[in-house]
Amino acid sequence: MEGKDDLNINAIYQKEMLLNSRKMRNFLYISFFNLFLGAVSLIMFYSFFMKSNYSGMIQYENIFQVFNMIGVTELGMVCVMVPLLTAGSIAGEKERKTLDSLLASNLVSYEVIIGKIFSSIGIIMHLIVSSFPIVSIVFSIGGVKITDIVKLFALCLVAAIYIGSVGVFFSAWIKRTIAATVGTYIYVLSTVFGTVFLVRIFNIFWSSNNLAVKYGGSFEQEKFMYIGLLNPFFSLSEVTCVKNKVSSLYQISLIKDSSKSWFGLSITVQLILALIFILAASKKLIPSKRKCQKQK
Amino acid sequence: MLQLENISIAYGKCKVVEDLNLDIAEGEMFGLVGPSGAGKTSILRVIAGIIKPNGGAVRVDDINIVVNEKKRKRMIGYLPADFGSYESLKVSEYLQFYASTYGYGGKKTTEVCNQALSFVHLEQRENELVDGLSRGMKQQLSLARSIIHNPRVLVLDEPYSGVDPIALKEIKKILVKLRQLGKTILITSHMLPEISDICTSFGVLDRGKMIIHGKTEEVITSINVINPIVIQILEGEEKALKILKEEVLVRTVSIEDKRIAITFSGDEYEQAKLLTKLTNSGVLIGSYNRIKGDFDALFNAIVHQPDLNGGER
Repeated sequence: MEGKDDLNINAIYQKEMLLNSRKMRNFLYISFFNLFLGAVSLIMFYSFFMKSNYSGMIQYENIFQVFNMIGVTELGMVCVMVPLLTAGSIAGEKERKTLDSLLASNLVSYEVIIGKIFSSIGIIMHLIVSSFPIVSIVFSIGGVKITDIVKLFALCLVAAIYIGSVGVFFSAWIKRTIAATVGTYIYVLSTVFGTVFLVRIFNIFWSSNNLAVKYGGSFEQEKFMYIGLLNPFFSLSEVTCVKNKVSSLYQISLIKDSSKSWFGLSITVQLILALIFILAASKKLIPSKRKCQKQK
Repeated sequence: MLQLENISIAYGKCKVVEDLNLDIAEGEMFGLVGPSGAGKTSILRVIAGIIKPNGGAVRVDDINIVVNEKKRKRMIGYLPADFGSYESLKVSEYLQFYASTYGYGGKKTTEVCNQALSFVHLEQRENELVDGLSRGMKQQLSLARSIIHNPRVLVLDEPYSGVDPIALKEIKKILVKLRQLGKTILITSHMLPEISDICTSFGVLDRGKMIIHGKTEEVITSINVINPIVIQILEGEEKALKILKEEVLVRTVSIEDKRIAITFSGDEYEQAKLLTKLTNSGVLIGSYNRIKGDFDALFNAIVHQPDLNGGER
């Protein structure tokens, strides 16, 4: 088309980033997030390493606990903020009475959805990048590799896409901001806490009924961890925990050193789920195809 | 140019529009009027592609735009009844956003936005926030948005709604200009007098059915049942009243001073026979004339009378 934008940037994304840049709340998000993250990191750093004044010994592996807490804080921030940013995306357009004009325009439904998700990811990325100086505290003693940091940020990005797609899905289907936000938080809480609860309950049941003896050891237990693939914190424990990794989250004993890349598996599953939610949300925006009489 | 063929729209079990047929020629401005709930907005939303009909087709130049989404989006410009805006966007940014949704970029965006703004006489407001505009200006801006991609057909849902008289005049001028540029326009409104003076044709919709449609002048003058006949009686008033009340083709009779107004569903031949009957009965008639009905009376009569031309609705 004549005059087509050379960069082909999604129009919704551009508009949302323009509007976001004018809002005071983004500045407040960045400020408070970094204040909180900085406070948590420094308190943990102080509590672990100032003890050495008395004992004369430094437990270098404690830095992983600091790293773990930073990871939990960042991922927790994603889980709290992304629903707020995305659950009102489509519902908000309907409430503002701008949805009809968008649907009548040249945009196709998935472009609207993708634009909304990526604008929320843009804000999350601002927060994550702004936290680099605080996260770099983990390099002060060593032990944490740069690849671990990259994995952490990749995880946050995937979690933002995953939870963002859930938010947009609820927003497209429910079409009321508050209800969509509640729905998204219920999903997040179910995957974060619900999966842990389910697996631990089953684990207790498994152990108390000697099912390990009946079914040949803990090998079968490991299969229950697959439910954790839905949980972003499952992926986080693979990155930030030194010992026992994901199994510690679900308190399942792994009898062999599993060669499975739970991290790779979990982010793949979450991205596939994100794609499903995006497609479902796009389908909702398409005018419902009713049976039309055959016309020439 | 714009054809609606057997369009049916239902929301669940509720049938809103049933087997609607309409043909609007290129360059026409068609006014669609009807009471609330008649189905006007639903029809416009089907044409704009926001909802799909339960049956039928919408054709623009023989292309069924219900199934051909790409062509529809280029050909149709839609102005919804409610104006929605994004807080903190300026007028120019608002139009640039919508221009970009139609694939415009770079210098072309600025060009089309400036053209649209000057067309609706808002060029001096380009740096103001959209939220700060008056209702009338927002409608003008909404109109600019709907024409930014130079569509051939415009569907406008109540563009006069809530605007002040000055803005209304301004919007009318813009619509007339658009018609002169060859755009085909379908406009809905409750404000009949405003539609009647700029529309080339119009239709009345009631409960999902088109009761009447055609050229404005034809509709105004052809509905005998709506336009009252006023008969000035010089003598024999009571006799005249008796004859008129007994006459099957006389629908209503009202009297004021010596002037009897009737609504008559017969044709001119039957009118002549009625007059002859009156004069033969000894009634002295001073004058006889048919009042050209106004649109409000026309609308109310068509919508509220159960049997307009002897047919069922």
